Amino acid sequence: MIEIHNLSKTYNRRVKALDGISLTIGTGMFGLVGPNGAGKTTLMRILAGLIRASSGDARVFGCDLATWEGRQNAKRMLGYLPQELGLYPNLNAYEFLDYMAILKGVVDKAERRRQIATVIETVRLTDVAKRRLKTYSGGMKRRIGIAQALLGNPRLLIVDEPTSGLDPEERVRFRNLLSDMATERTIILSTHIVEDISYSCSALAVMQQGRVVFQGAPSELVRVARGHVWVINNGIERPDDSLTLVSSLQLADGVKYRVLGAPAAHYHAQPADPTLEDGYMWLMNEVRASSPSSPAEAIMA
Amino acid sequence: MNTTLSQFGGMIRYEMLMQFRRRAIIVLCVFFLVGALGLTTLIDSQRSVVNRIASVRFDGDTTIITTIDARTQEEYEQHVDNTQNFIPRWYAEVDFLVVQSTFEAFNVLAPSLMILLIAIMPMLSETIPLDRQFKVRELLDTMPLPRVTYLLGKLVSVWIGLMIGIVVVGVLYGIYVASRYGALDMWTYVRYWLFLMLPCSLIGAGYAVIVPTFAQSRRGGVLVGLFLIPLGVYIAITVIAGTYINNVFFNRNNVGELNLGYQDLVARMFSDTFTAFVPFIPLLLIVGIVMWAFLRFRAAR
Amino acid sequence: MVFLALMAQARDPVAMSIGFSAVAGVGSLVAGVQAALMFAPADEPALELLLASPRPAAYLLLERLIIVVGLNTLVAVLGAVFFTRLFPTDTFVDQLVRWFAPMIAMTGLGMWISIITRRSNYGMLIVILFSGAMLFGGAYVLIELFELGWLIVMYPPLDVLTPDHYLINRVFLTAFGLVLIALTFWHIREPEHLIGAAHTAV
Repeated sequence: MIEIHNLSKTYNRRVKALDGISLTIGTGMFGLVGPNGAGKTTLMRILAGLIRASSGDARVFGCDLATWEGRQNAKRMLGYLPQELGLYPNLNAYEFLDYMAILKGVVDKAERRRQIATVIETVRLTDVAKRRLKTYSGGMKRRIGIAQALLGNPRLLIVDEPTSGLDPEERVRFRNLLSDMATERTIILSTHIVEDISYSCSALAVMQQGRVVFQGAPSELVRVARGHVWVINNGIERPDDSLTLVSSLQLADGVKYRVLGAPAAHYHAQPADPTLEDGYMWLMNEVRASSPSSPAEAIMA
Repeated sequence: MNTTLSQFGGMIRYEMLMQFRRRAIIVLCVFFLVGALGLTTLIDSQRSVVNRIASVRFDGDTTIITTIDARTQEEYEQHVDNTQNFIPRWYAEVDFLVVQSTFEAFNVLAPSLMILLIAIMPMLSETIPLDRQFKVRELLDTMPLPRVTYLLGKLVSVWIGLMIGIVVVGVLYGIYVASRYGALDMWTYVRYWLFLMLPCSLIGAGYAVIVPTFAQSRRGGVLVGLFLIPLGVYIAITVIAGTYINNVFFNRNNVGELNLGYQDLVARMFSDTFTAFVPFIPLLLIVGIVMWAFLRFRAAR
Repeated sequence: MVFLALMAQARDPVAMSIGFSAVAGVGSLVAGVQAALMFAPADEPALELLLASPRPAAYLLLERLIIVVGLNTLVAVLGAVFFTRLFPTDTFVDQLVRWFAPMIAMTGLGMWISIITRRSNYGMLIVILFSGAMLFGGAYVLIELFELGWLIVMYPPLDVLTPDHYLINRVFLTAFGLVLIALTFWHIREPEHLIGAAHTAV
């Protein structure tokens, strides 16, 4: 169980990256969504023990992240995949993973070998495992990053944009892998790919300007947009700014627009079932629309 | 404890592997060896014009010095009155040519040590900053790896790699000099490396690895290494000066000194040399503590 | 430089024997080190972005070279003025002539080694060691290997070489540096060499 209570983080006494966040994250996959600069990476770094919160309380399986000992204990249970992943270019995959496993505290050599063989097979890099990492493509490096995060059988997995750089097939495989692992552990997944969240997360939080503006199940976020999603077929004119354009598709006989809002009658818009993406965009609209100078209220499901 | 030792061992193993693959230590040792061989070749020309003493023996108040003429290579004897010229007793107790050759090699190794220490500073100063440059640092910070273990692991891995390289250079240089000059006083030669060359190099390398801890990139580390070069020169000069002041061939008018045995003089030379660089050790320890504190402070922000 | 000048002013025998010139010795060393740090592919942030832009990388290198040479020239001129006042036997032009050729040589050496090895610490190391060897071993090279030595010695004592030899020495060193600079520019014309494409996956 991850317990976060009134957590704040201010950089250089000026930039407030987190503003009084409270969350409870249990076993399973938990999605973290939000625009750039919302504070997702800051939150994940605090949970990973990389930085300390300015105020508030955060506990990872009972370990208080405000103390050094608590952070060290939490790190023993952690698998972390950062957004900007670095690798040692002169080591091959086996060597790099062995090194990371040792540093994670997997002392037994046989157990290390077993784990490395398993994770390399999981990310399908067995054939190239003896090549040096500097020869790997971006996607392959990402997969090695995923592999190292899985070492040590972590209770908490924090993955930041894990599928960036992966082809669609690999993305689906990785999503399924995380889903399988989520039955016994806590996985916090931060991504801009809403599809990944809708297919694999049982709960999610939406962050905006350092605050949680939504927390609940994906289905609940979808419900937020119900009644506000429309499809304009054979659109000739582009929808005006009062509507939020979600997508536009060029067809043979015109353009098909998917919009959020209340379209005027002349658009002849048809209501549509909302998706998670629609829910997210509608929520962001509502948050921005509610007094920009005063704190936005959390819309709790 | 088991985990910490395992982490320490793992760091040493893989950091050494990466050092050799980056070829920094190999390049260093090649420079060292080439420098020593080059200087030896330059000094060789002097040997062809300077007469050499082959042996010394005492006959009552007369000392008989057998000298080899540089041009003709023929031996001739000189009879010297002991009461007017103060010739140390140990000259007659040793194989003079062997001792002379050995100390001629030391005359070359002393400036070569300076070359090595100058080269060590920029070449090894990238060791810790590279983790940040390769973006592995964030990953390492999420591991349950104490900072002391991290710093010590980096340091000891460089030391072991450098020791291996220097031992190889010592052996190769010894073979070269022995083949050119004839036999060497092997035990003195080995002690020269053990008590002078190795400790100086390791101390210099220690500063080169630890001081640039705060640098953010390889280039930053190299710049710090550049500023550490005068320190390397100072270490070399301090130690070499101590060695020269206590050189066994320095003629002494004190009767007590004249009667000292060769091994006693050599032992004194090395103990004074060792004493000369001992002050650099606590300073390195202080620098290490400061850098450890810096890492802790940065983690606590 | 000031410290070294004071040392030379005290007529230190070592300094006198090696024809010491603070402007030439230190000035050329600093220029070489700066040139080595100027552009090393492995240390250059956003190298691929740089190479992907329509502006050739050679222009960037040229700009940096101009800055390095310009700054070092300024410092050398100021140093020459200062040392001419300290040692009236050396004229301002003498100081600059003694500095210019080694400066170009070390600049070319630092640039070229850094490009070839892709790392700036190699370039810096070679410059420092070469400078040191010339500074402290130059006189020895002149004694032992005079036939070729006079061509490459960077800081020859002025009373050792004839004027003709000295002129050829300066021209040779300058040409050496310019050739290495040209080789550096030649090397960076191919972006694939710079990004080390042979080491990376397609």
